[in-house]
Amino acid sequence: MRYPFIVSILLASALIAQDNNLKMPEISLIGDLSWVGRSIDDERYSDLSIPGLTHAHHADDGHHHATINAKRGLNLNYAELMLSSAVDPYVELQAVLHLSEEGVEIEELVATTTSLPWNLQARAGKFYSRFGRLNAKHHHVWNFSNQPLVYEAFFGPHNLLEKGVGVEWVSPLPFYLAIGGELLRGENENSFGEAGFQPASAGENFHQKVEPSSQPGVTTLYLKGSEEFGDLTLLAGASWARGSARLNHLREAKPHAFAGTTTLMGVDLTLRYDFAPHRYLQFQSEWMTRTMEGMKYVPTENNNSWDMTKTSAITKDQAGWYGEVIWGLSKEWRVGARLDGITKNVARKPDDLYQYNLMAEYNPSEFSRFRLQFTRDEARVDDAENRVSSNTLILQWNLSIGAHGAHPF
Amino acid sequence: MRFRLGLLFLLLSSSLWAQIKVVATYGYIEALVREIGGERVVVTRLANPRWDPHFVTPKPSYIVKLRNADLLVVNGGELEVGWLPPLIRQSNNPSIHPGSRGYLELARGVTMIDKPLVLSRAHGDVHPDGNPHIHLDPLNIATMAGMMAAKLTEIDPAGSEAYQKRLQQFLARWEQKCAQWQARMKPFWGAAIIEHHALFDYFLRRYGLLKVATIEPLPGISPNAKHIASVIAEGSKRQVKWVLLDLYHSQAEGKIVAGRIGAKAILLGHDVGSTPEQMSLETLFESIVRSFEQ
Repeated sequence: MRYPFIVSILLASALIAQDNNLKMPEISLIGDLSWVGRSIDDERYSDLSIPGLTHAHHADDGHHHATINAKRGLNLNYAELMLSSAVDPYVELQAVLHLSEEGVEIEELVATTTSLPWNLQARAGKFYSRFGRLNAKHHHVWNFSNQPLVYEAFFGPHNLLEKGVGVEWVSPLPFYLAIGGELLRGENENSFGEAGFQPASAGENFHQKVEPSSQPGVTTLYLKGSEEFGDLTLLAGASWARGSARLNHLREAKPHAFAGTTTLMGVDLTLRYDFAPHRYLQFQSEWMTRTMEGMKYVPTENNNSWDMTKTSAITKDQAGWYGEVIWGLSKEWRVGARLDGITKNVARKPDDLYQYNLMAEYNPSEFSRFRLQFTRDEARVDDAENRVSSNTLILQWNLSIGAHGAHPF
Repeated sequence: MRFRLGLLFLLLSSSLWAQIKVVATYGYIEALVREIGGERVVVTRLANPRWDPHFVTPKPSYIVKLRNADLLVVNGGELEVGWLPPLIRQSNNPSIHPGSRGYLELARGVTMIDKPLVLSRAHGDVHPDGNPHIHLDPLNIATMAGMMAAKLTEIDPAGSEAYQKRLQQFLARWEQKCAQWQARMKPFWGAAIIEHHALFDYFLRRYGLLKVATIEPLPGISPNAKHIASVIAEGSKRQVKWVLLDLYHSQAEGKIVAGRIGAKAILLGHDVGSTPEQMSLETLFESIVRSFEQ
């Protein structure tokens, strides 16, 4: 285990960095703990999936999905170490290291230009795509402890987090209008995926070998506009992403694979009315569709025989949305509700999948947040495709130390 | 007709382009820019002067204002740290980045008070350079007017004479005002006060008022019953005359304290534009001074 060593060095540097200076970047550490009560046990919960959209995280799959709030009782969800600084007059670098008990991941490492002409900004590295409204926001600034269902279904637990390059332009119009695009690898396991696969044994059905996707795998385009009417702020966005998909589930209990093209479209709307300092009402909603066109590969004989593979051209059309209302009562207190839905699904899979969330937050200071959240989940099925509803109560504690973070709208 | 409208638009916009586009974070900065810049500048303000200057909703419309700015003037001393940095980044306008020519931080030119000896958030939401509410000392306003004139001259050398002239006029007027306020606040020298947040400390120090407690136990931390009890005890012991309340904190606790110790609770606006009586730099202080006199 070399991770604890790395972590201890990083933490030591974080403690030494007391002041802004050239030797040290801005450093902050965010910790997230939760106590979870759930109406079904952990194993049964991890065996559930969103039908037609996700696969269960069976412990014996060898998948290590370090999802947050996964177990009943106390969870240490993560520690997130953020470092950022100007590299030179042209570029600044931000790194987000996601530390969990399993190890360290480079969640983000992104170089952003600071001095391009014509109000352009370019970035390169690993980052959250600016597709959609919530996608680019880190977990600690979400209004709820869990992801909206449609994000979980289309992108998995880490949203659309990719290696790539992006460019954004802020228009000279008298209201806010930003247009951007990205070229990404497309490693997302839920909607894209890049590795090729061979469903049938080589030789007999050699033509069935599926090549890896060509690079860059995914292109995104987005547009965000905002206008302000007194104390009412409106932000609306439209996003599009298209790329090659290579979904390989050939080693799972019900083997299948898919190769083709995925197109995602999303629209989002945020309305916020500020009544008084710290008192506001915010409505936020996103709607997304996903179309996957291509070939599906399924072994015909039995699960152990790869000699015969049935291929068929398929088109999958799926859609989902969420809508949330946040009410800021004071500097300390906020309450909110969110409704998630999957409203369009592939044939023979349910298209009435819903999740209901309620939360109340207490912030004893700007750097500490307690959140009590109740989630009623009616969107999941077990291996036999039977609907399994669950109720979850989460008491989350999110803490931050170090450089003073500030977050965009 | 369309041609003439187009021409009119061109003329109007070209005359606008000739002006220096300044963005000010707070109301008092906006007023200072107007005082010194006059006709040569157009200024827009970001924060609502009635609300908390530490927590400003970072509206995307602010990005547009910053995108087009030639000069950004901020209070500094980390007062904007919780809301401004992402807006500057999102504006994609390199000329107003901190440290650039088009960026002026007023706190750099004045001496900040109450710099914490130990930097730890165990002592609340502290600012490492000291109390950031620097503009509530009228003498600091004069210093900042000078900084403003120097910066505007740097950005727009052609306006050098105009800025110098306006600065001299402003300082002459301001000197008189400061002398008047000094005389009018003199009777209260040495009086004890309590305030909600460490907001008016520069004013208090200028006029010799003694702060004996704050309603907030620590900066940015909301009051609790135990602390209020200790404030009441301290307030009675020190014979506090005034409890200063502001527009963006709850006023209930301060009124209770004032009632219990027989002090007068006064509500003070903290920025230009905070209250209808405080629409200029003069009236900002005039209104505060008058609150003590009444």
